[in-house]
Amino acid sequence: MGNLDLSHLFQGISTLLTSEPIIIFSRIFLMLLGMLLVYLGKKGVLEPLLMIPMGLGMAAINAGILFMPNGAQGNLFVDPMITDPNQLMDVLQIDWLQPIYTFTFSNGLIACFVFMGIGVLLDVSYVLQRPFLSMFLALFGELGTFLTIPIAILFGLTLKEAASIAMVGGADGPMVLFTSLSLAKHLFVPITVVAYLYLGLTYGGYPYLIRLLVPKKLRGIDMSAINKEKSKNKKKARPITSGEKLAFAVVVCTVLCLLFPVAAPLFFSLFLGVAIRESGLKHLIDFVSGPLLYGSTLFLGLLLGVLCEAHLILDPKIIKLLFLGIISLIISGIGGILGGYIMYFITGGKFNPVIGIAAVSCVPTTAKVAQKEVSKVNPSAMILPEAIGANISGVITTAIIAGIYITLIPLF
Amino acid sequence: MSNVLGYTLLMAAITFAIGFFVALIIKVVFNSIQRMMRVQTVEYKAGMQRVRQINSIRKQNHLSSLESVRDNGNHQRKNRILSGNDVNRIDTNEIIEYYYGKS
Repeated sequence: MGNLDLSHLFQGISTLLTSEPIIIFSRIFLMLLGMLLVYLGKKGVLEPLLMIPMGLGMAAINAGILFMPNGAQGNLFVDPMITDPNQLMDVLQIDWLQPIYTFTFSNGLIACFVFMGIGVLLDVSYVLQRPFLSMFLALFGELGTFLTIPIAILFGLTLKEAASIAMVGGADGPMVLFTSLSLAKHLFVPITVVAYLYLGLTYGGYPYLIRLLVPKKLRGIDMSAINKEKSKNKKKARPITSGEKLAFAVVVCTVLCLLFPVAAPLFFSLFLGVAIRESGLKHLIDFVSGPLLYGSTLFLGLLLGVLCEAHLILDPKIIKLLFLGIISLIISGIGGILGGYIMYFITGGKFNPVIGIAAVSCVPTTAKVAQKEVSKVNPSAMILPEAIGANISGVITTAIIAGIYITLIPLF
Repeated sequence: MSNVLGYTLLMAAITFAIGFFVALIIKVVFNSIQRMMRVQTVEYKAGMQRVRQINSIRKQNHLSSLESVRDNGNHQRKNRILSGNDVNRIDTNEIIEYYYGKS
C-alpha cells in the first residue's frame, strides 16, 4: 500500500502532465473540440449521425491515454500505425476497435458499405431523363477538385497529398477516405476528418455562397416554364421503369470498372446499391439502407474520432489541410454555379443557375439547399428534379475523378 | 509547377471526356430500351386485337376455352379450328403458337 503510485492510478492525468506542452495543449483542445462536435451534432448544425460518435470518440481517446508496458504512451482503442503482422496479431487481441479498423477501415471496406447505402437511396431516373445536362453541371461542380491541386502544390504538398486533399471538393466523404488511403496513407486521418467536418458545414455555408453569386431575380426562375416548352415540342416524358434504371446501373458500372479497375470497388458498391434498389429486393433494400448504412456510419464516425489522437493527428500539414479543404469546397461551389450560369445563357435565361450548386455531390444536401434557396425567393418554383439529377451525376463524377487520380497520379 | 498544371489539365480533360461518354452511354442505353418498350407496346396492342379475334372464333366454334386446345391435346378440335373455312381470314395457327407455344 505504501508503494502506491498515484501517477499510475490516474494515468490519463499523469500522461497529460508528463507530456510535452504541445501535446498537452493538443489533447485538451481535441477533448474540447470533441465535446463541441457532439453539441453541434445535437443542435443539427453538423451531421449528427457522424458527429456524435466522432466527437465522443475524439474526446475519449484524448482523455484515455495511458502508459503501455514498454513505458510509452498509448491507448486501448486502436493503433493505426502497426504494420508488423506479429505485432498486429497482439494488438488485435488488445485494442477493442482494432479489428474494425484493420478489417473494414484501412482497406476501404467501410467506405464501400457507405457507398452501397448511398446507392440504395439514389433514384437515377433524374439522371436518365437529362443525362447531358446533369453530367455537364456535375463536371463544373468538380472545379475545386482540380484547381486545389496546383494551390496545394504551392503550399508545399506533394502531388499525391495535393490530390487527396483536393478530393474534398467532390464533397463525398467515402471517396475522400478511399483516395487518401490509396495516395497519402500517412495523411488519411487528418484529410478524412477535415473532409467530414467540412461536409457537415455545406448545409450552413452554401446558402451564403448562392446568395452572394446569384442575384435574387435569377434565384426565383421557375423551371416549369422550360419543362412546359419541352413537353410542347416533344411527347410527354414517360416515367423511367426500374428495368431501365437497372440496365443503366449494370452498363455504367461495367464500363467504369473496365476503365478504372483501381476504383472498381467504389463503382461496384455504388451501382450494386442502385441495382438492389431497382431489382425491388425488399429485404436487401431494408438491410443495406438500414443496418448496413447506419452501422457503417456509426463505426466510421467512431473510428474517425478515435483516430484524432493528439500524437497521431499532430502534423504540421494539418493547418494547410484545413485551409485547402475549405478552398476546395468553395471553388467547387463556385464552379457549380458557373455551370448553372452557362446553362442559363444557353437556354436564353430560362434555366435557374442555383441548380448548379447541387452538382457538388453531397447527396442530397446540396440539392435540398438549392431548392430551399429558390423557394425563399419564389415559393412556387420547383427545381428539385434537375437538382437531384445534377447531384447524382456529381456522385458518379467524383467516383470517376477518384479513379483517375488513383490510376494516373502514381504514374506522374 | 507547369508540370502540375499540365497534369491537372490532362486529368480534367479525361474527366470531361469520360463524363460525356457516360452521358452518351446513358442516352444510348436509355433510347434503345425506350425503343424496345415501344415495340413491345405496339406488339401488345396488336396481340390484344388478335385475342379478340380468337375469342370471336372460339364462340363461332362453340369452344368453352382456348386452353383446352393446348392442355388436353385435343387434336381433332384443334385441327377443326385451324382448317375451318370460316377462320381462313386470319392465320390462327400463328396466333395460337404466338400466345400458347407449339402444342
